[in-house]
Amino acid sequence: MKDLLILFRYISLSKRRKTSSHRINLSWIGYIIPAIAFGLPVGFVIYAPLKNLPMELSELLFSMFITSSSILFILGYAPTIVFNLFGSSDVYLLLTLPIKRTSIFLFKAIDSIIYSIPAVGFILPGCIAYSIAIGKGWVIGSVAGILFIIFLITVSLLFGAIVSKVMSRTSAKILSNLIYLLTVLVYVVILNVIKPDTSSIEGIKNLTYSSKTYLENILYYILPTGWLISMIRGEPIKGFFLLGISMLFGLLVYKISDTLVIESMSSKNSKKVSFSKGSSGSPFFTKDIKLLYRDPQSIYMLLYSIVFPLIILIGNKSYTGAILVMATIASFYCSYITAHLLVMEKKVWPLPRLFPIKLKNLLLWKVLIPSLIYSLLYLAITIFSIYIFNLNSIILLTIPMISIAFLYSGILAIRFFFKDPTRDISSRNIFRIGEVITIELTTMGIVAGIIAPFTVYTSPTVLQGQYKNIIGIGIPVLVSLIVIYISIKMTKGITEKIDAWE
Amino acid sequence: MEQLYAIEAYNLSKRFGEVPAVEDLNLRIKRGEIYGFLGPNGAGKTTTIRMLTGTLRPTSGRIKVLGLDMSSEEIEIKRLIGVVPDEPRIYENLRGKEFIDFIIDIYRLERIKILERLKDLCEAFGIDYLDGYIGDYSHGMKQKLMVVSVFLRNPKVIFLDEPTVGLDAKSVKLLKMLLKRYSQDGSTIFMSTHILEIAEKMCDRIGIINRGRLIAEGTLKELRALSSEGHISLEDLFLELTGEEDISSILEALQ
Repeated sequence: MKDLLILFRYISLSKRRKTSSHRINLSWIGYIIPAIAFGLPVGFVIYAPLKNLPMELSELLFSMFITSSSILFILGYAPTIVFNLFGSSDVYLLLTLPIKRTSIFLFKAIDSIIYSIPAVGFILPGCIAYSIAIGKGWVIGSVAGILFIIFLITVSLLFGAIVSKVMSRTSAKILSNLIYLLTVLVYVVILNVIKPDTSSIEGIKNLTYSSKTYLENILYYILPTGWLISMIRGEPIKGFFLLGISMLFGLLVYKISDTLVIESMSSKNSKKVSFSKGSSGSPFFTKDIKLLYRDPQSIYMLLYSIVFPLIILIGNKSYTGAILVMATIASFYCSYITAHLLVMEKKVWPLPRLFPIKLKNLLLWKVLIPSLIYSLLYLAITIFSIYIFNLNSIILLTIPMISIAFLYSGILAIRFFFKDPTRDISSRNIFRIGEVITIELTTMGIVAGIIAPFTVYTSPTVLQGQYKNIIGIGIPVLVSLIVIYISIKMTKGITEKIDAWE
Repeated sequence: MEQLYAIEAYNLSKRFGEVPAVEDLNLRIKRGEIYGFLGPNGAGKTTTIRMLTGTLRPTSGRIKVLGLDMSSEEIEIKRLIGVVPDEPRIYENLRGKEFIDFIIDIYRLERIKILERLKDLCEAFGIDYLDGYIGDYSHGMKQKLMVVSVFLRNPKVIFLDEPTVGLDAKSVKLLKMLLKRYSQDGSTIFMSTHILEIAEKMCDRIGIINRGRLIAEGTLKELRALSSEGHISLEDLFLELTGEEDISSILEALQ
């Protein structure tokens, strides 16, 4: 415990140095403000339905609210612990200090909680609102809420400790990042697919009734959310259940975290290593593809650009909206993935410079790979749309044009990157705000310039005769030619800078 | 006709903005020679190695490796040389075996022959972790992987920048033996090191760089002749020539 306090004093000093010159440590405010900002409105919003619904439904609604907040909390917090533990540069220093590994684990875990504070902000006011709504007052709601948050923290710590124990450093980093980003994706999908109507009591009633059987059978009796509700309703014994399990989990966390191997892989591998039988053809392509699918952020960017349009396609039955959204997101993300691939080379610099390959050719793959993947995804969405909606297959003509937009986006990323190759690559935001705006606006403009006229062309009512051809086909072709011209010009401009990259 | 010199540098200079890192450096290293490149921290050793290996463009001067001009035949030179950098930075999300696969493909090596050689090298260096992610390796494990990825190609010129950092005693011994054998087989070794004992025992010739300038060069015997104070050990010679020998007064002050 004393170790932990010393560690927190050290981290607060180093954080204070970066942020301000104040003598009083106000870093805790940074933890509290987001919780209040998220929590208070939620408490007020949920109070009305909890009070006005029949008791049984109010209970189910609260159970559903607490369960979803808990999942959000655990899925957000547990991977962040792993990421913070393995991703921090100061871990190696901490390992040299005469302190237990449990202290390092808990220090990193508590330091990570800031990222999950919004979910805590949902739970505590939610419990207080429910407690007041059923006439039990705010005190019991607060106590129950705090106990439940402690329980959720111990669950997350246990999950984090187990993942850190069984996985290697790199696998844990990849997994924690992936879970975190997939949670965001699932959240977006649920909101768009289910579209719950929470704007009226009637809508909430419908939502609650439709989930009634599921909630009654699973959530209420089995999960600790049921114990929380019972505790608020006047069964303190369930509170002791929560406390007991939290203590048990805490003990397990203590035991597991003290034997963690944080520094590096130590296990020897006796099994025979197998190598590829033949040449991969293009070594940089093979290597970059491997690095790409092991980079969670890139996976997220690829999935997002396909999942979101599919929701529009299936949910709204709008092929135009789907391909427009897909092409816009993809052309924007093309820049990002190109930049990510560049950063991967930059991190091992000067190794790529030692290979017997021209730097221009090496960088070519960074543009081609995302463009190729996104073109294939766009092709799939377009063919799917033609098949489902029986569309005019002339829409296939947009495929090469949109591919040109993807290539342009990648080249633009290279251009921006080489404007300042010494830029900070430690954060996820590789581009500066002005560069982001330029990428977004130009790619959106190009995509709109290609797809919008095509939709005019395929619509039987909008235009007739030769105007239809001029606008429908002529504008996209003209836009594509302009983009090719600009891309070639940009490429010439950055060649010298690439050669001078050292 | 085969070139006499494996590495040649003429009037080589590198400036970072206004700061000169290397100035007017001239080197001629014969084939099969083991050349030790010594200097204090920040003297310009790594900058020189980076220029000689084509990862840094010189501000001025000319470089030839195996008779090929760096300015016009950079790719061909890179195919023939091997480099062990001072810090083994390798793609962290690749597995060790995937990195070796990548090396085999990028250098267009004969796979079956190379894999046999890899097996021997891995056994010798105690590498049994090629299935794991490189990001999980310690510094020494990465360094060994880097050394093996260079040696398996059998390069004609090998540049090593502080190659023993992070290696265990057995690996250091093995590395020294391998370097000797490669040199006997005709490969040229250019090595920077802070461990003067290695330079003293292994190198045919030694160059000492200080503040970007080559201040002394020759065999150990030739370097001893340069000492005005009659120093015999390379350590004393090095400190005398680089003007950093007055460490006894520092020690006294510390007591």
